[in-house]
Amino acid sequence: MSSLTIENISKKFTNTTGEEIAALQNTTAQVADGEFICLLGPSGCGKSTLLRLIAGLEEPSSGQIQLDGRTVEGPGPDRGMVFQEHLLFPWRTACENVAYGLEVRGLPAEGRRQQAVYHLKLVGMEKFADAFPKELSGGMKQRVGIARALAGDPEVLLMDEPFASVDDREAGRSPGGHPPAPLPRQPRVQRSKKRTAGKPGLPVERLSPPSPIRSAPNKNLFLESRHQTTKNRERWVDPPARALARLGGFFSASCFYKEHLDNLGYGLSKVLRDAGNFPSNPSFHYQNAKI
Amino acid sequence: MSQTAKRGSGASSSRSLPEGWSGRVIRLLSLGSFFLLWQIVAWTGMFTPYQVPAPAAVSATLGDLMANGDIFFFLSRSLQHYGIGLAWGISLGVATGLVMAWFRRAEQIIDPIITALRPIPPLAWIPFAIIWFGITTQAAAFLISLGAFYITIFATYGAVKGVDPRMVEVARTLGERSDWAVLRRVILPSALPGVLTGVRTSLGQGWMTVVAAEMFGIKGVGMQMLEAAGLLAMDVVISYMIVIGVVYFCLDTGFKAIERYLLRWR
Repeated sequence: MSSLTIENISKKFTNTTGEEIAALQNTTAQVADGEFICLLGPSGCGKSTLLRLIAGLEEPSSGQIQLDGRTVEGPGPDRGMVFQEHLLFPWRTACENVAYGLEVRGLPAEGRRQQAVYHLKLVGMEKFADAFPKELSGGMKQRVGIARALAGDPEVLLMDEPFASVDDREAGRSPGGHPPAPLPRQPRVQRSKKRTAGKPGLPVERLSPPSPIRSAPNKNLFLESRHQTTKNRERWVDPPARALARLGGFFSASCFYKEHLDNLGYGLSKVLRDAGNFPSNPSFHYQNAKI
Repeated sequence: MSQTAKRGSGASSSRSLPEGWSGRVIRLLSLGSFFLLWQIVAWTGMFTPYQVPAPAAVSATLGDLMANGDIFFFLSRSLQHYGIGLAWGISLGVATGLVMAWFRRAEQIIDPIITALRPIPPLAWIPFAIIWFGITTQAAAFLISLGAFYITIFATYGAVKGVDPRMVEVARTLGERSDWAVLRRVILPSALPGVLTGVRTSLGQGWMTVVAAEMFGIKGVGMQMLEAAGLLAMDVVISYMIVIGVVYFCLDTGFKAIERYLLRWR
C-alpha cells in the first residue's frame, strides 16, 4: 500500500534582489493508494514546486512529505518523475535512457535491455528502442521519458506538464484548412516535408490555439479541444498511455499512482481542491469526469 | 523550440551531404594550379633555387628522403614527442578542468595561476625545458604538452559548466546517489562535445609546437629542417614542410572520424 502525505508544506525562494517569495504556504494533502491527482492552476502558483518537493529535488522550508510513512529526503527511484521538456539523455538511445535507472541499480546488461524494451512497449515505442532522442519527435521523446520513469517501478509517478511539448503538435488541431500535423509514428523527414507544404515559414504550432488550460481556463473551450484531441490521440497511443494522452490537453501538472495506471481509462480522477493553501490562489480543480 | 531545432538539423544535413563532382573538381584544380604557378615561378628564373625551389626538384628530394628512410625515422621520433606531450597535456588539462568546474574552491585557487601562466608561449619555456630535462624526448614532450594543457583546461571547464543541471536532476530521480557515478554517467558524456573540440584544437597547436620544440637539437623533423636550412638545402626544408602538412591532415581527418563516431547522437 502506498500513500503520500503532504503535511503543512511551505517553500520560500529568495530572488535576486534578496526578497523572499513564498511558492507554497502550509499546503496539506493526502493521496491514497491508486489515486490519480491533477494539480491545476495559473503559472507561478506552485504546481511544479510541489512536484519537485515530492520528488526530493527541493527541500521544503517547513513541513514534511511522507511516502509510505517514510519522510522524503532527497530524490529517489521510488518517486518517478517525468519532466516538462522530456530531458532525455541525448547521448543514450531510447532503450538506454529507459535502462538508466536499472543500470544504477546494477542490473546486468541483458536484463536491462529486456526490461527497458518492455517499458518502451507500454508507451508504444519499442520500434524506436535504438533511436537516439534527436531522431524522435517531441511527443515520442516524452513517451520515452514516461517509460524511463516507469522502469524504476516507482510508488508514485510525478509528471510535470508532461504533454506541454506534445499536445499542440500531435493533436492535429489546425484551423483554416491547414493540413493537420502528421502523427508521430511517421518518420521525421515526412513530417517536416508535410509541414512546409502548407504555409512556408508558419509552423503549425503557432497556428493552432494554445493549450486551453494555459490561456483560458474556460470550460467550453476546454471540452471542445479535448474532444478534438482525443480522436487523434487514440490512433497512436496505446493504453494506458492513451488515457494519459487524453489528459494532456488540460492538465498542467499532475501526479498519480502507478497502481492506477491499468484502469486509468475508466477511473475517476480526484484533483486537489485545497485552493486556499496556495498563496496566489490557484483553483485546484476537482476533476471528476470520466477520462 | 523544436521548430528551430528541426530546421537547423535539416540545414546541417544538407550541408553534410557528399558534395557533387563539381566541388571536388574545383578543389583538385585549385591545388593543381597552386603547384603549377609555383613551378612557373621557379622556371622564370626570377629567384635562385634557394629562394624558390621548383616543385619538381622538391618531389625528387622527397622521393630520396623517403627511399633512404630519413623521413620515416625523424617523423617517428617527432610523432613520439607529439604523442607523449599530447597525452600528458590533454589528460592533465581535462582533469584540471573537471576539478575546477566541480569544486568552486579549486577554481578560485587554480584559475589565477593558470591565467597568469597561460600567455607565456610554450617556446619561452625552452631554456627551462633544457635545464629540467636536458636535450631529451621529455623536453620536447613537455613543450608540446603546455599548449594542449591550457587549451583542454578551458575547453573542459566550459563544457562541464555548460552541462544542463536538469540532466543531473533526472539522474538523481532515477536513483543515482554517488557523485562519482553522476560524473561518469551524466557530466562526462554531456560535456564530451566541448572537451573533444578542445582536444582537436590541441592536436593542431601541439603539432605546430613539435617543429619548434625540436629546433634546439632533439632529433625529429624540426631539427632536420633547421639543419637543412643551415646547409641552404631548401628543397629538403620544403620536403619536411610537406610531410608536416600531410601528417597533420591525416591526424585531423582521423580525429574527425573518431569524433563523428563518439558524437553520433548529436
